[in-house]
Amino acid sequence: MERMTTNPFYTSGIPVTVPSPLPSATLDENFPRLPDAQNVLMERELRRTPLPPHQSSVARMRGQVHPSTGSVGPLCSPQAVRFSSVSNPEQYTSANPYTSQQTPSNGSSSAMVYGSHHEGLEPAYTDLPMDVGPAWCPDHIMLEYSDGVPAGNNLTAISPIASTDELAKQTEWWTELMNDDWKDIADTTGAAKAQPQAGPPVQPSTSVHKSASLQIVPSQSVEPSVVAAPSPSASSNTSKTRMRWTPELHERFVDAVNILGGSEKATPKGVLKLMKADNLTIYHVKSHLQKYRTARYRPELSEGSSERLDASKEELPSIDLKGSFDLTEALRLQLELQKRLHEQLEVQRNLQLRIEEQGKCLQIMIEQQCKPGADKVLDASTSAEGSKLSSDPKESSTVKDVPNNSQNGTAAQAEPGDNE
Amino acid sequence: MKHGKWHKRQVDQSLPAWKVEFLRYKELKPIVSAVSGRPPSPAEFVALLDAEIEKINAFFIEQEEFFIIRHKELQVAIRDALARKAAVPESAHEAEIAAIRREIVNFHGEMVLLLNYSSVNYIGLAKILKKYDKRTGAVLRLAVIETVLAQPFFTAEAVTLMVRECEAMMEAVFPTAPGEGQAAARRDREALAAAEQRIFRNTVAALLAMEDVRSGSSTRGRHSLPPLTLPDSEWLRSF
Repeated sequence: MERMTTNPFYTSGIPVTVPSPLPSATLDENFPRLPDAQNVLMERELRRTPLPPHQSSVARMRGQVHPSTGSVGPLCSPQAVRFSSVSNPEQYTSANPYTSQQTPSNGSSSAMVYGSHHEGLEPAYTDLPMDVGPAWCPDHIMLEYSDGVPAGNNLTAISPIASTDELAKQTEWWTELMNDDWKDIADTTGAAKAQPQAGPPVQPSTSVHKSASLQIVPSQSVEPSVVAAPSPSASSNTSKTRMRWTPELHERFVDAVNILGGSEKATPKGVLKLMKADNLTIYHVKSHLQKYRTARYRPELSEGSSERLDASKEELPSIDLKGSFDLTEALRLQLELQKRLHEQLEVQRNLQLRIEEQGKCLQIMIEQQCKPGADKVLDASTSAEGSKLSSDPKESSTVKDVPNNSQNGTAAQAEPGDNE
Repeated sequence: MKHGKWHKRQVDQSLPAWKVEFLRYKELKPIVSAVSGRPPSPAEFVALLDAEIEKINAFFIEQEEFFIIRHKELQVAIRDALARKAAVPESAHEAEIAAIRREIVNFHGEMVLLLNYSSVNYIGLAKILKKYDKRTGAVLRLAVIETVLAQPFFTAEAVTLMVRECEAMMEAVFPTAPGEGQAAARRDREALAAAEQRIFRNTVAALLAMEDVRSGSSTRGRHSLPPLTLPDSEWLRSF
């Protein structure tokens, strides 16, 4: 199994401790479990079976639930062919073909699903409510972004302080959204449990590795990394082994070329021999050599700079940047702007990763509930239920057991995958 | 605004050679959302997206290859220019350095624009998946988006690293220099200037567009990015 060089889930090794209440994703044994159900597990629904699902806060949640029984069903993995998430059948409980069972629901806003559909299972997993999310991964990871702000450069127009505020604002927005949900849960269920939780997110990273194994390319490897053709169903006649060059590999290339006397003199065959790199074909070397020569001697022709040739024909009204500033200052300004864009892109990318990570965490938790191993969870929660409903919100050690169980189950599940 | 419109604007404002390389959001959306007719089956849809992702990856990786080459050349050029400093007249040296600075900034800009390209494509994919799940009730989104997160065009480690190294290079080469170089033929300079302007414009546009796409939508939720307000967006818009 290939390991990704960048773990999209843990770019920093921040241990996840959760100050916000953990929704115990316990499966109340009163809920009939429908093995074929394709409903999204809503933690709220679990806890308040008898209550009608019409809550104002519910409208914020997306996804649907079978309201009559408040039943929960496994989140079924899609039957998507190419994704090796289906290669982890032990993780996802069922691979129900949606098409055979679903009554397609289209367009209806999620809110109105509640309480109004009894005839069918409404399989839906649009946007999973992230109520459970904060339990796993929120605040500490969010905070790291403020550290990512570049050290202040003295710039003419752009203040780094502003971007710090911006980043803080963005992370704050998200955490607030999460915290609001928590308040809702607390209100709804009448119980709030603060639950420090650490560890579970480790598991999703494993499954990401697996599910992404088809496409992972360790980019910093010295050996040429070949990206496999994307899907098994793709036409097999074209063995599209796309070469992905890395800086290290390029170094070796340049060294080989220099040994052979320069880019003009070097031949692909000679370079290939000197480089002694596995997976590298002469075709790859040839094409790379061509690009290399272009870059050295005709830089205006390389890469996207075809626009350079068109430049004179473009009717762009020129920004009179260079007029008012001296050239160096103009370049500085341009660079600073670019840096800002880069920074924003980085923040955005990290957020995107986190968002999906949350979804994954939740899904895994849901899967856990529906597995046979969840019987233990049920037992633990049964005893917890009594105290939970009758007492005031407080830390309850029995509730702690539940997530630990699911955690163990989760960890146990991860292992077979690790041996892949 | 609708995402299709935003996406189109991004594409239109991008570097000309790149326009055809973007996700074909405009084509995909009606396939998914068509009220009449049936939406594609999960397998069909995944195959469609696969093709798009493959295309995006291919373009990205090729650009990355060019960037890697260019990065190395730049490093060599800086090293050589600094090494030659004592041996050449000051004006010649200044000219070299000025040209290098320009090259660094433009190079940096193009790489960041490539990262923006990735971002635009990712957002488009996420949106189309969301639409698909909503339309058909399937649960493709999470699994598919997971694999997208692992794609070369999204992770983009090498390019990100090179961007940072560029920034470091600038520090090395950018002391307040007394004068500017006068080298480079007039035609080259004009071509370069126009390219710079295009990069500059695109960067401004990308920043503003990011603000737009994150200005809050009707369907904001746990999977949405926080809204973005750039403190100097007014100033940016003045360009």
